[in-house]
Amino acid sequence: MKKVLEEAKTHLMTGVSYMLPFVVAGGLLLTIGLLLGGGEQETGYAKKIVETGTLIFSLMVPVMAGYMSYSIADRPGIAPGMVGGLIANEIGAGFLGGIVAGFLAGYIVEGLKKMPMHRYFAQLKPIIVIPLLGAGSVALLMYIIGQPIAALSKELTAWLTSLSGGNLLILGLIIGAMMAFDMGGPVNKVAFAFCVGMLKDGVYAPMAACWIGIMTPPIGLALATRLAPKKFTLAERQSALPSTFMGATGITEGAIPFAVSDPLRVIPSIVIGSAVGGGLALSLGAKAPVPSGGVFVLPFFTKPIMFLIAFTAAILVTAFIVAALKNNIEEEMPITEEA
Amino acid sequence: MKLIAITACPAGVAHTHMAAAALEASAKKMGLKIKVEKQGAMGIENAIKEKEVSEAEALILAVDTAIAKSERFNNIPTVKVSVAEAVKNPQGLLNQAIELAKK
Repeated sequence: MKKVLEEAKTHLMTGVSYMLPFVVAGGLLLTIGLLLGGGEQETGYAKKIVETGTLIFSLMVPVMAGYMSYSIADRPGIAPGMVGGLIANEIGAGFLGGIVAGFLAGYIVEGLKKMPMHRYFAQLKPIIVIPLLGAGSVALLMYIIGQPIAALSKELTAWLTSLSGGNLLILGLIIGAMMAFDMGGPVNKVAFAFCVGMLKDGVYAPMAACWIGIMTPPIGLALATRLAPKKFTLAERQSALPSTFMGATGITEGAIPFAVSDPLRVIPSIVIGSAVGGGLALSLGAKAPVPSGGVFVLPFFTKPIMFLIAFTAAILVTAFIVAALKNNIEEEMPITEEA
Repeated sequence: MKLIAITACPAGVAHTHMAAAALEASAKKMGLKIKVEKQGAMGIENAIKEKEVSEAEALILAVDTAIAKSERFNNIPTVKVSVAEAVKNPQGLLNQAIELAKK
């Protein structure tokens, strides 16, 4: 069972890995467009840049599903996986739907590959049989089992939206916690997709909490290596600076090296820190109209000083909790100079 | 003893390279020859050549994602672990590979 879960994680991570550049490309273009005033315009080049950014975002789920399927079934898995992801987008099943589509496509194609076939047809397998039966059956299944997932996805979004009325504190807590929880993984992306969706509707508050959850984990952990150097390996201490830089530019993945070596202590710390900061940011009235750019787009936030106060609190909470939870480690000999 | 290894992590920017550096440094200390291919955000770096595959006695896969061109290594004894394992305990991992090669 453990092996199955680990393999499933590998497939999911492969999908996420290939998806990341699309998130960056779409996010940066959207940011640049919004900074140029594309949010208010009806037409014009700035508006076009914003639209290009959101268009690129629509590739996120298909690419993730396609490469999850590739991870399972190799090359022939890509097309059926992408088709499944496209349908997940189409019916509004979002990331959750995309994950289901990726696994479905991968295992269906893996099955088709093993299916015995008359030798006259065997050569047609990769060019006709798998694309047709693979994509066809994934499409059919997605239209059926995708519906409850779409409903669940909408429910989740509606619930998060309903919170944005009076319960800004709770909304901030939840978004901050979700963003930090898997540092760029599917939970993080669901929360991120929600905040980006809110931006499109002109609701800028959730993205402020989102930013806390994006930037806090790597920076908070980097600070912790200075607060309690005896509790981190040499490699971890050396990665503090790059990790801070990654955090400041909006790459939560900088926290992953710390989390994999000690997940049970690191993940709760960054989740609590980011949740506190997210709740605080929204309570103080911070808003963020841009989904990428890190600290460089801070001046464009609403109430940037309030945001900074919340951000600082998030970093400090993370660093102190992780420093308190971790034990001293026996340092093996230093292994790397250039890592 | 000649070994080959592949490292790959989800983001492909930090762990892939940390694991590769750890394996290379430990192998040097233990007097082993190792070629480490990195499959990161830039695609394949320091690619393992066909000749190196045929000479290698064991393959270490320190990967969290699916790797490209895995069909190259069908007949080599393989240790597969997470990329974090190679960063934390490169020496143990190399010993594991040596054990496997001896069988």
